[in-house]
Amino acid sequence: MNIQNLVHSLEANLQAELAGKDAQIALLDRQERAIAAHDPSALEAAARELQSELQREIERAEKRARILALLSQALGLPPHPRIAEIVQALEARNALGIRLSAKRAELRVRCAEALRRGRRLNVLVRALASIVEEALGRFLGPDPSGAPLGRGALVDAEA
Amino acid sequence: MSSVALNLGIEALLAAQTALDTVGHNVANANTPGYSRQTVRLAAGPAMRLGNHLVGNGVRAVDIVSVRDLLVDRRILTQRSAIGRLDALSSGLSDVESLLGEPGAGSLSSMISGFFSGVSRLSANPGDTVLRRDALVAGSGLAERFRSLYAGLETLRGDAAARVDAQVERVNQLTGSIATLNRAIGATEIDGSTANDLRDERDELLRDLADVIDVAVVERDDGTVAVTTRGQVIVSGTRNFAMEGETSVAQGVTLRIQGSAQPLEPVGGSLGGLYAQVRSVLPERLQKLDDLARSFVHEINKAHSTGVPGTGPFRSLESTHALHDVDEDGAYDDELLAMAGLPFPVQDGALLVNVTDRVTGAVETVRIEIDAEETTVGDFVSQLNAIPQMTAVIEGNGQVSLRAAEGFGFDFAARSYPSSGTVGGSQIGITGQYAGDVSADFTFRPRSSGDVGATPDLVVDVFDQNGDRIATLDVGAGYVPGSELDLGNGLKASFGLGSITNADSFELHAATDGDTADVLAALGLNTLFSGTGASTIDVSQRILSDPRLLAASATGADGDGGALADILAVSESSLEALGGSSPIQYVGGLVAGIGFDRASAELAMETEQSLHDGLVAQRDARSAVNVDEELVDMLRFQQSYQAAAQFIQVVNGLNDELMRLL
Repeated sequence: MNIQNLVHSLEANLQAELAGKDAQIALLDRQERAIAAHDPSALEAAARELQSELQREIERAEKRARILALLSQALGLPPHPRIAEIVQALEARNALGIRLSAKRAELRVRCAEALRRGRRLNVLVRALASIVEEALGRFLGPDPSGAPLGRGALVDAEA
Repeated sequence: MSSVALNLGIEALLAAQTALDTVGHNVANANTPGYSRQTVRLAAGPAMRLGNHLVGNGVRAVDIVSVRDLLVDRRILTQRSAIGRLDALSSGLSDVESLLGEPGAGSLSSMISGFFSGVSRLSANPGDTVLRRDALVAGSGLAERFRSLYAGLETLRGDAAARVDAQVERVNQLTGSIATLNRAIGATEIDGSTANDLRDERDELLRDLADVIDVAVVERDDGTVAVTTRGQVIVSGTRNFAMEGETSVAQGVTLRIQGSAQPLEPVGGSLGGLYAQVRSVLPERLQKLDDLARSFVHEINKAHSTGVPGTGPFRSLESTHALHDVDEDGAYDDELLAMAGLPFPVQDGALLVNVTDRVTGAVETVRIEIDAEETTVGDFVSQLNAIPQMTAVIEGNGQVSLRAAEGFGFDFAARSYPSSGTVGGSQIGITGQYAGDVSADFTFRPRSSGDVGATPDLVVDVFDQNGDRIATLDVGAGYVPGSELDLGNGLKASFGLGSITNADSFELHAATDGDTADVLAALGLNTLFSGTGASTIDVSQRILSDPRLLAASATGADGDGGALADILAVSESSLEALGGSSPIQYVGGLVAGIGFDRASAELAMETEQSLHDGLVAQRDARSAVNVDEELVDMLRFQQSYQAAAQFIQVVNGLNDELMRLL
């Protein structure tokens, strides 16, 4: 496969990754809204869709890795180059490199956005999980103080 | 843009945390009485404008609301008031039933029967001192039972009145607390939020209040409630109006709301039930018992007062009831006898006064006519004093004293009179006890003229007051002068030697009742029972101390128990004062009435309780906390967070890697 075909393949993959990031961001947004809406069903549905999206992302990442390996070999670059290094090498050769450079910049922005949202959602989900854990613990766990039950005291429903 | 996103996340976190806190709050209060399940009301935050774009601002918890149905809540209040009233009523009637102890030994009906049994045994042998004492002991026991029942009912009424006071105190505590909560709720909700827990607490107090008294609750825009009972305000906003109770002998209890002149008459709740007990249920029973005792005393005394005691005609007698100087002019004489403040009525009629010569046995009967609208006390006493050998005096305390001259006695038995007289030149004598059903006047009139015992076909016709001939007496040839001829109805007539003509006549009055005016019973002259009602009834101390004074005889003859028969007749009589019932029937009706009312109250309470339970179930289906449901919610959140966290971690890992590559 010549360099031009490899660059076209990389560009197509970057385009797919851009769409994938949009979908990922949308799914993260849906999860955040599901949490805010106190709607575990919506949260679960969004998580299941994210799982499918992740599968496709992994496939795209594997394809990207294969293209980058072939390109680095064709361009005489060291193995496992960064995309920026490949784009830089191609920019010097033709306009195709310039287009690729734009795609790379766009994907970088989307990826940063997805990363930021993912990190925030991670913090949110963990915080909420700890609240639920605490509530369940208080409800189901033994009373550490051993104080007698009064009006409105928490009790074990099973007991 | 990043600040917007950050804000969106914080709002989401806060909203979710509020929702979870609410779930925890619901679970914690699952067993708190009156707690209504709370839910979080979520709403989209106002959008923010960034350049030409409107950007969403996340979701926020705008309010936590209690899940409740106001209509059901209000109906529950009504049901609780009804149950409270019926419970108090049923309990009170049950106490009355226990007190009456019917049927059973020592019950009023068995004591009444026991008294009449004693009188019945005595009637077979009226002179028997032991039987006389037995009958009097039975009478004393009956009187004691009347008094103890009356006192017991008074005690129940007093207890109920004391409980009314306690319930009034409880109402004031509750309305005070509701007013305090109104203040707290108003202060909390001034910013538009909802003070759910305070409202739950207030609802619980309103339900407690409805148990005590019937209430109407109106919620105002500021979140406070106004509470009224029977149209009078007891809570308005942050102020409560105290209920005040005033106890009096006549009314029992009078209730008022502070600042209102209008008396409050609660109907619902335990206070309504107790109030009804104090004001109507127990007074009605007291009145019925008093009516029975009063009627019993009056009827027995009417029968006894015309009887003749075992000691024979009276030498003296003093009334147990005193006349009243009604017009307060310092004299009793001018009072109408029927309106002289006597405890029992005097009516139109006549009193027979029989004066007996103790040496000869001769009896003079005088009839004193009494007109209820005309005869004064003075007229009556004057007529008594006009009877030969009799003296009547009104004592300073209003009691009337009668006294016979030395060697004479008096009684008020129903007799035929005069016992002797003349028809022309013949002396007529009347003997026997009149046995007719109604009093009658007879006229003896010779059909022709002649000599008694000598002239052939000489007869005397006897006519009744209607002009009907009831007998023809053959006093002509063959008649032995002085021999008795039968008139019928237990009376006999004898004629002495002498001439009679068809222009001669003789009038005979035969009475069935010695006192058709009931003046003896009203004055308490020769009465068996003293007192005027259930609280004062007793056997006359005079008779108790000398049982021979029990007036068993209707004639004074040895072995006669005619007056006892009249007393026994009371047991079967339909008494007008008792609505046509006999005393025993009246007791039965009284007991059955209480039993019926109690059973009705209990049945109604079961129905109301069933309705209440249905409403509570309806309320709980909407408002009560289902712990399982809340737990399932929490577990679902836990699972979804765990799943989401795993995927997000992978997403972040891949994005990290891609960023490094880029």
